[in-house]
Amino acid sequence: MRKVFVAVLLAILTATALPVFAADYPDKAIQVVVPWKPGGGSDISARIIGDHMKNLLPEPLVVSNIDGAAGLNGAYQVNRARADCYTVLWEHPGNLAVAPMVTKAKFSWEDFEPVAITAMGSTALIVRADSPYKTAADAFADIKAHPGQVRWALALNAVSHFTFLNISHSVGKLNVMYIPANGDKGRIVSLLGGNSDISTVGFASVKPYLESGDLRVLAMVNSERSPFAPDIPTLKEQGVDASYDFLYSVFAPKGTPQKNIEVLTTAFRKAVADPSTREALKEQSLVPYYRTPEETRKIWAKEAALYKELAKENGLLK
Amino acid sequence: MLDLSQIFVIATPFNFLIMLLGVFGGLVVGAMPGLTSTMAVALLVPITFGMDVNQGLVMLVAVYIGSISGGLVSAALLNIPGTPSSVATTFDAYPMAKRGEAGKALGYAVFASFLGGLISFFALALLAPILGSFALKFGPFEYFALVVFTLSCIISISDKSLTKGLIAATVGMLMAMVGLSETDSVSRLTFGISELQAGFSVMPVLIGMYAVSQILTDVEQIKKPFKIIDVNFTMREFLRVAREFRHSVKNVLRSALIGIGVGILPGIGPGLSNIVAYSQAKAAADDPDSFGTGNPEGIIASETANNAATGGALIPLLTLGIPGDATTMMMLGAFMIHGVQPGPLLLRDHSELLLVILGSYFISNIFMMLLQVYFIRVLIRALMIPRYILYPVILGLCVIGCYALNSSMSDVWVFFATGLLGYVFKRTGFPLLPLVLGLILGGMAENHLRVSIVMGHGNLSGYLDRPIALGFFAAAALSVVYALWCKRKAARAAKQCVLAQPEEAL
Repeated sequence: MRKVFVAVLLAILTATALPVFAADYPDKAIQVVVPWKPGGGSDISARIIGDHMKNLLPEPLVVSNIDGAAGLNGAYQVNRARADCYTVLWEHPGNLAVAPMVTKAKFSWEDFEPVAITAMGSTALIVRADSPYKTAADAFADIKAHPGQVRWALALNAVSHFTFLNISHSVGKLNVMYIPANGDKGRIVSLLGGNSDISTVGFASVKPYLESGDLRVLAMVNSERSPFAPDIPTLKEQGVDASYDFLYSVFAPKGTPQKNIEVLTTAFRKAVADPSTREALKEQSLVPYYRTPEETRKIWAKEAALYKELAKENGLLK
Repeated sequence: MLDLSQIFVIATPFNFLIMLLGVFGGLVVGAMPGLTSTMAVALLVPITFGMDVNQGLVMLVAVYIGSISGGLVSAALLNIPGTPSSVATTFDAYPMAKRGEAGKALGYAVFASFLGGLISFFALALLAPILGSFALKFGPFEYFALVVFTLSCIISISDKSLTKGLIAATVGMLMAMVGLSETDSVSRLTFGISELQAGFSVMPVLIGMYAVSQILTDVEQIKKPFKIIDVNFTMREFLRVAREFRHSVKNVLRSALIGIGVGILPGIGPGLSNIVAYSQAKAAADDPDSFGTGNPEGIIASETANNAATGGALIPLLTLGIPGDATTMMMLGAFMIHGVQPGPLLLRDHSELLLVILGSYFISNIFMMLLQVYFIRVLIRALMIPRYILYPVILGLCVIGCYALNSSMSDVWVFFATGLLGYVFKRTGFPLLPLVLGLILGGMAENHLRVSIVMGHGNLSGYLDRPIALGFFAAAALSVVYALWCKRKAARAAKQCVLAQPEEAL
């Protein structure tokens, strides 16, 4: 009995100590932590891509929604998880690069290992259909003419807040009334109900309201034109040097063996290249967009530096 | 506008079968203490992925109806509300079940659920577009006023000590402040504990407060079996109970309207409808003192309202694409996976899907009632299981339910901790409901108040040109004054004529 115990113990120790054994990765299901409620863009993108990886890995990807604390709850669980790539986080830079900074969490995005970027969402600057603004320039001119009067719906200290700060930075100090509204749906409702005048939301969520004629897009906030709205110019084209690309990224806990990350990122690359995945993503207005771990790190570092700068400039870092 | 003949597309044997299975599955999950309608939908949604859109929608609606209705079972039989939407059901259904009339209590609750669902079906079918736009009239001002009004219901419901009720509500509201604030994600009252960043979720607190405290209270008599008079609750007895409803037409209509109205408002959902309906039924009754002792009217009000709220919650989901509660939020995700985008275009581009939803809503309600009537006998048998076996099973289910909510162990610790708090509350005569209400409403109240102050340029003057908000404030003030006046009158009457018959309190 004792011998068996020692043998098992040794086996476990060598398995954890020697990366050679990691060649078998994955030999159990991989948990994908989506730090938001089911049904949102993060959740749907994770489920679509996870579902299309069935044939690429011997074990399935299981999405679990760990919601709360502005996405930090889920991030914290992955942060604490064993560094073996069986628990990964599904996040976007507007949140994981921002939230730990403004809430003074004990970790930042740098305490994770990047695995991949898988898909990109588009963001739109929107107003109600009956708004007097025809272009983004109209809106900015009006905001400057009436300081503190125009109501901009945004989630304070979250991505839509920083998108606004970024725009404000490049057009030159916009003084608006902040209307706190969380989530794409919250901001859409705030606009529809006449409780705010202008906002930025994910293009996928707002699309039906554009088709029904309730809302109107002034400009896209992405760095390049979206394939789903090829006729709508970006802010950059309108002379405003501000953009935000909604990048769905995958992170593993710090210290995860590179070998496992290699296996997982290769599977993501293949899944995103697969035409059936691309078709499914297209239905949800998501652009397939794969980046390697190294590229992911660079993109995030650039984004995070920008947010830090914006936070400092606006006194959000206390 | 809608071509009603299309409704027959769902009338296939297979659709009936999945509706039956959906309602059944929902009932089973909803009836288990600790497991909620949100969980039922989450568990059963993946099954729909293999189906086509129509069948998927039929199944989802069936599960939703089944699970919301299943909640009445553990509320009535065990005094443990499985969801916030059946809290008020415990007030009268449990005392009735405790008297031994478990079958009758369930009968009232089931038929009231059915009527609530039916009335709400007509609201959904006929008025959905109009009511949907009504939801948009509610901005931060109106929400805050509505929350104040709901809190005022605490006063009319808490019968023994008003002070204790208010203390409990304050504790609940303080708990709502823990973690990142909803308005600006600033972390508060966490004492440096990372797990508290997310704050207290409602479900573990609710289930803990009610389940753990109830089980601890009953431990003293754990060897004693439940008292059951009507073991053989037959269809005939159910019909007798149903006939009793002719005396309660007003109550049913009022509760259904409250349910639909509250259900429409996104974010509030069925959770509060039952409490508002219960307090209004009590205020309108000739004998408010009998509420809480097993008065059928109390069961009727609560169960009519929470089922009416299901149709209400579907209205903003279908017409605006805005989910009314956690369960409809889950449904929104499921709709989108089936390639259906609920929202302003659903009615225009996919009116046939709306008919599918309506048809399955209607039929699921009928299935729900039929299944429940036969269920009642099985459930009463389940009550005959000795408590020392039943309670550990229930506790296990609660732990699973709390963990599964967010896959987080901290929710389980919250469950146990609030359970002990609930027991202390019970022993010292503090009511549990105000704490839970305070927790549900506290965050909402704070967020909407702050936003409304911002919109009023830093002060409260914005409320002055919001007639709906002012109306709610007036109603809140009136209900507080009325409740206090009734209490005083009752106290004086009791003092004056000790010997006399209980005087009619208005």
